[in-house]
Amino acid sequence: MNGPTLKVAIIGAGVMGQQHARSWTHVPYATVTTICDFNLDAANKLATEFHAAATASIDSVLASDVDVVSVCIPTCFHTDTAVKVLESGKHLLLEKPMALTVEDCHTIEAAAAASGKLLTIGQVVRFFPEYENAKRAVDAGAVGTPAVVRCRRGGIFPLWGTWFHDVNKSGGAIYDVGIHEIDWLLWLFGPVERVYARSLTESLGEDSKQDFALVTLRHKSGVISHMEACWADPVVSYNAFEIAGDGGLLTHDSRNNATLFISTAEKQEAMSPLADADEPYNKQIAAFAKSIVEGTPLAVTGADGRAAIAVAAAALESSRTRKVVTL
Amino acid sequence: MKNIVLLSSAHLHADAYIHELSTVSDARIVGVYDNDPARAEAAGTRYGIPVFPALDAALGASDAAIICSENIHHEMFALEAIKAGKHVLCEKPLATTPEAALRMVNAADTAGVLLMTAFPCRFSPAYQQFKQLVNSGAIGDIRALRGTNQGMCPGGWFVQKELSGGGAVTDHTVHVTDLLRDLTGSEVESVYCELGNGLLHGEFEDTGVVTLEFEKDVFATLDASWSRPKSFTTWGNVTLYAVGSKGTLEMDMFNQEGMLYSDIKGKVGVQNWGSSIDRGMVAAFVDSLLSGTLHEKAASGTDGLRAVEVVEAAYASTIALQPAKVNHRT
Repeated sequence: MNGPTLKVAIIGAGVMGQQHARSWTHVPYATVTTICDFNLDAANKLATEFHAAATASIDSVLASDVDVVSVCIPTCFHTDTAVKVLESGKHLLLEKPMALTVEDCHTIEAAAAASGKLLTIGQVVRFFPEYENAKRAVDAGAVGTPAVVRCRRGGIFPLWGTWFHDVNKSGGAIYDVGIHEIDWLLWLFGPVERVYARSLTESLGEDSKQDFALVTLRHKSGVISHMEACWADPVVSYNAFEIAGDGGLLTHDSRNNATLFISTAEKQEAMSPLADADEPYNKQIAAFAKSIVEGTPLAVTGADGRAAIAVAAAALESSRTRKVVTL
Repeated sequence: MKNIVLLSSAHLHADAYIHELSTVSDARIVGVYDNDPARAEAAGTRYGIPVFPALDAALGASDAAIICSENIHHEMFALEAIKAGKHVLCEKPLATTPEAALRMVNAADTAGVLLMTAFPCRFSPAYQQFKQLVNSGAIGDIRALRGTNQGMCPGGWFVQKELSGGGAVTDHTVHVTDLLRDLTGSEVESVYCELGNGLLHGEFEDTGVVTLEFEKDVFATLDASWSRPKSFTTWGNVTLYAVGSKGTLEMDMFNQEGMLYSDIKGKVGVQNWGSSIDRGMVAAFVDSLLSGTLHEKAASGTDGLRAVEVVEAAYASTIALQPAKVNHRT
């Protein structure tokens, strides 16, 4: 066979693992060969769909000849698994959030450096066209110099997982959904100087499957950003942002973006389809594949993942202590 | 018939109040007095009402006063009106310092006259229904709130601190703060604010993102920024989003509008067709004058004072770079 080939394993056959598997199939030279989940039934189900092998053993993935691994498991297991994957000589696409602590992020980065393998973090919002467009527009000066920014990642509580309500496993809404906005804010407006946050994370648990956080960031550039991470809308939710600068205002509200709307007795739904090549998860994985085979710079590095975790950790600490946290 | 005098038209809301007064029976506008004679003449012409050359003459001809002066003059006008035994509806913010606001409140109490703060958002049908839904338990217990009162920079005296007392945080913190106090039935305990001047680069803040901690176990943020550019479709917004234990509730107070794409003006704009919040407030003021007690939905002088205390704490937090306790005056 001519040209590059990539054998891919997916660790974690949940919602994100399924998404990664689908997106890897859009890379012409990649083949999903292995699906790993401690729940072998889940692994089998996904493996059948992709004509891959199923296993419940991470060790068998590590010992195999796969080139790259997508790790899509609960956040609390990221560090150990990521380190093992890198030490076994595989490239790693690690789902966001990178880890629960900055120290763990350093550990993962060190493992990548030692192995010489590539590490990227699934900060997929950078590949969402509306967010990517904002980056281009801001860099091109479309709003002049940015001054005040608002963004919101809305969501229903992720009842598809059994671990999200445990803050020690997921980090709550700031870590799980807010991390997208934090990464995007850092990407557009640079490092953060101080953080003040309030959230419902302290009461998150088996009896309160609801989280909501309002986080104010002061960037070193002077930009003020207000970030909202929501696990509180019961059925439908939305994402939005606005960037106000001294030359204009750029806004986005997902409720306003639909190219299709279906209305029947059974459902009403707005849709906003993109070409396969523009689909964010496909773009994320295509970019990583390209970095592996062509050596193009990583779109998202371990250091990027760690920078977002540092802000998320500061936000959680601020909410707990009700103090401003300076980074 | 209640006779009402307008004390200054420096604040652009005077236009709406005068217009709405003309729709209310049992009250009439008897004229205008302004410390700026040219502005008094202009207002007299614009509204078709007499111009009083002196404040005591203006107060002598009226039962009540509406104060729409620059913020810094609210106290002087209010104390003069109260001294003359007149009831007062005062534009927000009630004063530029809590001490001044407290003097106004105490003077009105001592004189036995009504002091109402112009918080028309309380009279918005959307807000009234928001509050009713919350109180009925439709979304369970309120746990967190997020509000905005973003607008275009009004310019003029609003950006001269010696007349306004401050920039966007002074101008736009108080409306949403008042709604949140009214909604939660709780006072603000501490405040944190990030502010800047990155939009207009003036000697005043044009951005402000404020976090409020209530005595009740609820937190909120509000965005007071003058972050609607000159090219924006409308003056700004008032929004509220509540997270309750059983659901969420969102309000966009002025989102009852058509879009007008005008080649004549060379601009895209909105045409709002919602109920006037100013009409409800002015009618409540007149009701209050007739009954002798403040209308149940109206914001009192103390409500105005509490909002000014929150503004004070917001500024204090920007010096300390930590949340500031709100100093409640009594």
